[in-house]
Amino acid sequence: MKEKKPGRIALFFKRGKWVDYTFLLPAVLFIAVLMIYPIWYSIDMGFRDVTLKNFVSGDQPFVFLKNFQAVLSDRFFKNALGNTFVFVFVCLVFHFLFGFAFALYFNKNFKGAKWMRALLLIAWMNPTVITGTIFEWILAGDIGILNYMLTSLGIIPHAINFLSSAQTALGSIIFANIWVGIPFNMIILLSGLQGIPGELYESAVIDGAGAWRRFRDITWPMMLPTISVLFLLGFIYTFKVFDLIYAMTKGGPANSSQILSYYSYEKSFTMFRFGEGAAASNISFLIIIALALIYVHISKKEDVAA
Amino acid sequence: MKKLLAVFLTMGMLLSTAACSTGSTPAESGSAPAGSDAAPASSEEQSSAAPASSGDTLALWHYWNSDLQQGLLQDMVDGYEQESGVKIEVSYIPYGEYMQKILVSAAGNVLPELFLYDANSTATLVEAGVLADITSQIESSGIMKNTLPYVVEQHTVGDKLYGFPCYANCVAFFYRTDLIETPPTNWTELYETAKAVATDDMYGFAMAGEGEDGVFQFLPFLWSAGADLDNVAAPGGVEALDLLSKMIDEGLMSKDTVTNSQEDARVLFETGRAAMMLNGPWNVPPLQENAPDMKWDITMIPKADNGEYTSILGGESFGIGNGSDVESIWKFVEYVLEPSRYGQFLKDIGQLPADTELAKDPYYQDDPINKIFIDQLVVARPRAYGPQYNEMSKAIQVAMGLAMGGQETAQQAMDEAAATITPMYNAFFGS
Repeated sequence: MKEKKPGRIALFFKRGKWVDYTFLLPAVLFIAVLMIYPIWYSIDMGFRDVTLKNFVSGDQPFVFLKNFQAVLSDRFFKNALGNTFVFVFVCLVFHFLFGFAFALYFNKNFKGAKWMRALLLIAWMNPTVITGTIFEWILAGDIGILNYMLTSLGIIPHAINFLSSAQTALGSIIFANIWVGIPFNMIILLSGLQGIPGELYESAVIDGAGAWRRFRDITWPMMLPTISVLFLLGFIYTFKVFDLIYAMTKGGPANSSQILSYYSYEKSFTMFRFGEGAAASNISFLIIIALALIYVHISKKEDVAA
Repeated sequence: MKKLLAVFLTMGMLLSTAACSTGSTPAESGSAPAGSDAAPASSEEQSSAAPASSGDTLALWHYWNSDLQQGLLQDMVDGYEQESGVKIEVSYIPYGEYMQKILVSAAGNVLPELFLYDANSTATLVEAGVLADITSQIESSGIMKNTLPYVVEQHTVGDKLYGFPCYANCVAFFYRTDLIETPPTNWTELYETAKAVATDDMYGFAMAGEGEDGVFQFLPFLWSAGADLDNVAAPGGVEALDLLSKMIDEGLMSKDTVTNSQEDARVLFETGRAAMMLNGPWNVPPLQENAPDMKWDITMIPKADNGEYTSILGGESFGIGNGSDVESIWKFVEYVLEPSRYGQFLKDIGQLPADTELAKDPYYQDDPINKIFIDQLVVARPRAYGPQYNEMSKAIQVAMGLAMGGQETAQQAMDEAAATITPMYNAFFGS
């Protein structure tokens, strides 16, 4: 009996199964070179002392948690982390609310719905740097059109310096990012809505269910899987927003609109503390991984329940 | 048989992707036309050990994106190629990825022989081991014997020279002659003039306050009051920040100053929303173009009441890739810097000479605007604070944000900045 075990490997070659596996090689190689290696390199860098001085020579000593200690004790890291969670939370809530409202609206399939839907998507397809620059112009204190409108209508007495005040800078970026993200949420939710069989509603109507009952007992539960995927994707997308901040405030004034992605960029490429920048990225990576695991756990439970 | 064929095909695909990636390395560094002889078939072994190019071809990297700049550079290169028979391959790399490209090339030991860089980053590039020590070449050829002392300092780390200026620039003080008869010469006058001239629709004064642009324009104030980065919380530094914060608070400057770049300051000035501003010579042509009827003049930046006139050095420089054959490129450097040729190049490109002899040219001395910039350049100081300058600058940016936004007093903000900056300063200058 025991001799049969190595036989399986022999069989593997004899039957030519290995040939099948060679077809995987290009894809595996592609993923290894373009995804796994960079991620590994970044994780590894977080544990090494990588600075301008040893970047070129490559002689980068292993320092274990020193970079993480440096980052975690930096008050601007705490500030960025706090901002990140505010940013992600507020954006996700509004993305979902507006996205769902738009999705329900466009699900009605009235005349011109397709055109309007496509037009709305432009917001999402715009390069973010351009969106950021446009919002910077809209919100500017001296030359911004929003301030011009508000002051000439007499709604506010003086221009509000949305981007240059520490109280409003982060809020302005959240506002812009909500605008950017709504179409994406709408499309995902709309595809979910259109996947719900119409017969369910028909029979519910026959049973005498009102609009609210139909929403609560059909739409909502049928949409839950879509919604949880959307929240996971939304979390990851929002967590790594960078170009919008770069275009609008550069994290300022006085770091008040800085989030983690911008923090690690600045550590790595302005201050050339590559090790600490990588450590900060690793922390964001951990947070995202943790969330993804929670998602997998929940969706498994749902599968079992269903 | 079929299986064997499949395996061969797969292997072939893999090999071809691998071949593509190695083959593209020498080609992607060159904007030269396809089929240039820069990448011989056996370049693999050569490029791993030698600089970006080998044999008779020298590499020159830059990030200039305007037709004017690229054209003038190409003229230089063409002229030299004809005279010497040496081929120079010019490569354009966008500024955004320039530093990364240089660092990665250094790690791969394929640095170009000659490359343009922001004069302010000499110490950073030396720290990274990218720039070659060219002290002996500069001294024996005398190319920097007439260079302004502060510009020499800008290219010095330790006692060694690592680069030479392509051109220099600095900032000066712009004001509206139809609104202001006598321009302010010190801070008190600056404040009073701003107060007298400001209206509901116009600020008295505009300057940059965001990022490095902001620090670039703030440091002349700090230096003028006798402070330096050894202690930004010294009275001079605090007074400088306090003056600007007060002017913002009183509406003499825009509250948006902390998000304004130097271009934003120019826009305020050219649209008549600011009566005075700080800016550099590169903003003169757009100002003339966008506001052709505006009456303005320039003068020295107002000094602290008991201080001295200062400005800040910018500009671009050339360095030589560490590990490359300095002598091979040096003849080209001397060709470019030959006074009459170089003098014409500076006029054509519209930039200031860092060389006191070239600055004596009537083109600079007889032109009222150029004359002020040349005078301002003499007192313009470098940001030669070592490889951690960017971090020092960031600390000042935060202090500017806090004080100009009214969240902290200038003293509090500068105390926090000094806590970051002073140890770095001492580590670099070793006190």
